[in-house]
Amino acid sequence: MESVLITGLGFITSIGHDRTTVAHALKELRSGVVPWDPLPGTTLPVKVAGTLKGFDLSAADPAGWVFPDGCAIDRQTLRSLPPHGACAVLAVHQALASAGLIPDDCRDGRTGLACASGGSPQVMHQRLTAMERTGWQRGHPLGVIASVAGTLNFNLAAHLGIRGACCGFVSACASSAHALGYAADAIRLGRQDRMIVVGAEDLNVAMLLPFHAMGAVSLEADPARASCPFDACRSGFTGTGGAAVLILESGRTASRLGSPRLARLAGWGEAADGLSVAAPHPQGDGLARAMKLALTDAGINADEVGWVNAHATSTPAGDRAEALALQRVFGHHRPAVSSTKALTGHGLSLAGAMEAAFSVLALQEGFIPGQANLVTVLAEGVGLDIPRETRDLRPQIVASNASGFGGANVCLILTHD
Amino acid sequence: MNALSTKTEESLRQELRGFPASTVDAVLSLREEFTPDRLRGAMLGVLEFYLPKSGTRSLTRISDETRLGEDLGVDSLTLAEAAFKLDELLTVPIETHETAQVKTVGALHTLLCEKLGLLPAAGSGGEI
Repeated sequence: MESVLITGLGFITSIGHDRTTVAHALKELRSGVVPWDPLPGTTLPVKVAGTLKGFDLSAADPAGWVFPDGCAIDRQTLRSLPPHGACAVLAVHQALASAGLIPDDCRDGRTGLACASGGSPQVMHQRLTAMERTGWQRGHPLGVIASVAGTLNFNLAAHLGIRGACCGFVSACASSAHALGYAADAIRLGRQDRMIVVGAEDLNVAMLLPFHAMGAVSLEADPARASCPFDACRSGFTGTGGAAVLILESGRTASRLGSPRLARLAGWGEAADGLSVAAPHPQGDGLARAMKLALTDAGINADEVGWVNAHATSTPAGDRAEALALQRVFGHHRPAVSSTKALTGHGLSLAGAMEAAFSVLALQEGFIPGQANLVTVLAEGVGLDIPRETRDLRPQIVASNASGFGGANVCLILTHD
Repeated sequence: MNALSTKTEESLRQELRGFPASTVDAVLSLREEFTPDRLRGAMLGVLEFYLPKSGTRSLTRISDETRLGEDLGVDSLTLAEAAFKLDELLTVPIETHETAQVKTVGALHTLLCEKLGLLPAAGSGGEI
């Protein structure tokens, strides 16, 4: 079976818009979570978020969006994009460049695209409201393309001229981890030589506040206390948006092209809880099985794992379930465990790809991010090795977890090549 | 009273965020004098914004006979997008089936004039 290498990375995240800045933020535990006031003059219950610095994607018309210096997108591309789609375009170009590729390389028919986002509730709301005002007679002609789940595939496939696989993944917060797993399989099975994997999500009221209605979002106003994974006082997740992109290539393709061999996606596993539409299994049953399946798939023993990049979002139920799952899978072996969501916030469909990319940085640059914002470890986590400070230690193997609604669980195993 | 008199300059500028200054000026000029010529200028400014970069013909000069598809590379989706913007700006309902019939710059101008109760000046040229 073909090996799967990660040869390029792209980031538009709350902790940075390039690899160097992101890596420094992870090492130094520099948070991207800041006070958030997207609707001045109102009193939103949610006070902080992992914002994209230098971006203003709030205008209804993409023509009014503001980008930081060095981030520009032509109007023809912008016109059918949701806010997170603009981030995805920027991150894709960044990832292609880091892999030594140009966009035309994507047109070879052996390059596929796997995307994950929840669509854009904001754009859908704007477009439906405008259409309703006309008595449902007239609407923006690109409203569907820019808003429904799948918007990333539609836009990026056309933008890049993808002629191979093109697919979207929707499993909520496990979506882009699923995309990575299935993309890896496409390469392992010889169906594609290269896969571009994209995770992205809007950060705005329409995307985040519905989660408040579920009681899932932290209402803390202090950024240091809002997202505190594995802490006994955690009260919900903190939102973020943006995009992360990973370029996957077969070992043979990478060798032929001399691509950067950043890391290997050695295996993955998925398993569902079969229990609730939203809540995780109380003992983390599905996640534990996903981790075991991933280790088996990669041919790796649990005691070889150096760092678990946890899904932990800072929700009471989710972190408890993951802690119990980790206890069950790793037993007496204690890999370092931390969740980078303390720094970034939780990116929903973006999370799996973003955190897999962070894991690649840890492998490459030799560090294990500490668990930011941790004061008192939750009871179920006692016995886990949750470092409070970053360790200057190169992990040999990283397990990156992701869980989503419906009890979907994914674990990705990343190693050095 | 004209189609834009109920909108403030600020709200129009908001609606046209990201558009070239020349387009904003052309639209704002309609608030002072709502004539077919000024409507044409505003229409061309909006249309220019939506034109694909790789038009099949030089865009420096166009006439009423200029064909939207063959000459300017405007596909049906792009025309619908421009028409929707004009619909919102001018608060004039432009139906999808109406834009489907529009093949030239002059036909689009005529459609707008008719809807806004203006008589188009015949055979006018213009710059994009």
